[in-house]
Amino acid sequence: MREFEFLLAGMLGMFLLALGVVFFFLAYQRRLLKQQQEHQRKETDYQQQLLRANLLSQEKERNRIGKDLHDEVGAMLTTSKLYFRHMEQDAPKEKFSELKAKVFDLLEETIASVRRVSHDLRPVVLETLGLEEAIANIRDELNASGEIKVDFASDLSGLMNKEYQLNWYRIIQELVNNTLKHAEANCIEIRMRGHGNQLKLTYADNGVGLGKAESRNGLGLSNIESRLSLMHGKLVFKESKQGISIELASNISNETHDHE
Amino acid sequence: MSDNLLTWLNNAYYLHVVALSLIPLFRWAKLSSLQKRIAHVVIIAVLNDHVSKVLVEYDATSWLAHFYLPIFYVFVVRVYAKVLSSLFGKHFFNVLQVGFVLFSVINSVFLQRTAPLISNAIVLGYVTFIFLSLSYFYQLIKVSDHQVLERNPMAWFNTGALLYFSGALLLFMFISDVIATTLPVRNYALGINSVLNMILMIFYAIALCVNPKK
Repeated sequence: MREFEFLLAGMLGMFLLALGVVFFFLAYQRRLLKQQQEHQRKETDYQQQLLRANLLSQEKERNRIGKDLHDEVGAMLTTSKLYFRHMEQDAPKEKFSELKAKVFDLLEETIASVRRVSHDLRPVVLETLGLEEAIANIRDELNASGEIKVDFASDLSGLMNKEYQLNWYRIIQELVNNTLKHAEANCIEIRMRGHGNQLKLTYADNGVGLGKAESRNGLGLSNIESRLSLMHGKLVFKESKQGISIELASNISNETHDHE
Repeated sequence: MSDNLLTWLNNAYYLHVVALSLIPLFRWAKLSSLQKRIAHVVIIAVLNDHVSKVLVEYDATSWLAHFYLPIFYVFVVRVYAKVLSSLFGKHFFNVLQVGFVLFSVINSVFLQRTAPLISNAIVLGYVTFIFLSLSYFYQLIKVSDHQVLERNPMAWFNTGALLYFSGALLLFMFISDVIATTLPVRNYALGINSVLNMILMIFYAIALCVNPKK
């Protein structure tokens, strides 16, 4: 009987041990599930934030184009129309020539404005010559202005599809615009390296840096993160004594390694 | 334990068996593929209980376990093979099934031919089930996509299996000694086994009744 009591105690012990294992597992799994749900919520919030930034950016761009078209192109065409109204066939030759020259100048400026707006919408250099040439073009334009010095070096091999080239172009445009507007810098350094299916870009300026938290989460940065996420890329802020230093990386194309 | 109490427990247990027999019958069309494998285990178990109830009248139940246990083992391992193949690989379960059936045959023919119960094979089977059960809990923690467990039929099946086989393991390790002792002691052992079985049946039933999340 005594042996049976030990057996009974042993059985109860094993049962309680199994019960303990079950309760421990349930508690631990619930904790993991809660963490996972929290992570998913943060991921969703982040995606929504990127989408919001994207939409705001689009609206901002549309507003800017609309303003440019209204204030510049619209105004110049209206003025041209006024000059045409004053042109009479029997007007003195000098007045006619003067009006014609003014209208001609206005039309030239209008064409230049339309070309500029069109270029902003659809960068021709990028489409015809590729990413490196397009960035080199930005460098040349800024260096020509004399206000800032841009140093660009590239070592890109491999074929990048047009979608990715446009994304990278817009990212660099955004970074340069941020520097010009906020950084008070006089020097920008851009380094681009391609290796296999990976592209790495290092961007640095000698400005005031991104000191404020709001600046780090600004619309421009959200746009950059949004474009990088489309290319499965990432962005890392590096330590810098002066200004900012950012390292960006992504794939060169959206084809899988198997297809390569 | 008195004979009355034991009879009451056995009747209660048999009610559970009857109720459990009906669930696969009514819910078969709604069961997922995993639940169907669990249902196969349940069907084997309830068939064994029904046949036992008939054969006990003729005092001829001793041979039943020699056939029931290997078949039960194969079907239980089949359930775990569906959920644990990523952890162990498919061949692992084939080896388990073949190995156990061979051992069971050898044990029945040579080792425990005249024993009242094939405790060697039972203990080996129960140890395997406990190992598989713990492995499944481990896998549930390891996965990257955690789900709510209330609607996971395997979680219910696994919990019931761990509780029963852990609780009953020691009993069947010393079953020969238990059977050889006095009647009250034997009654206690059978009563405890009935209680543990009823707990197992409840978990089987829940596993078959939940609607898994698609």
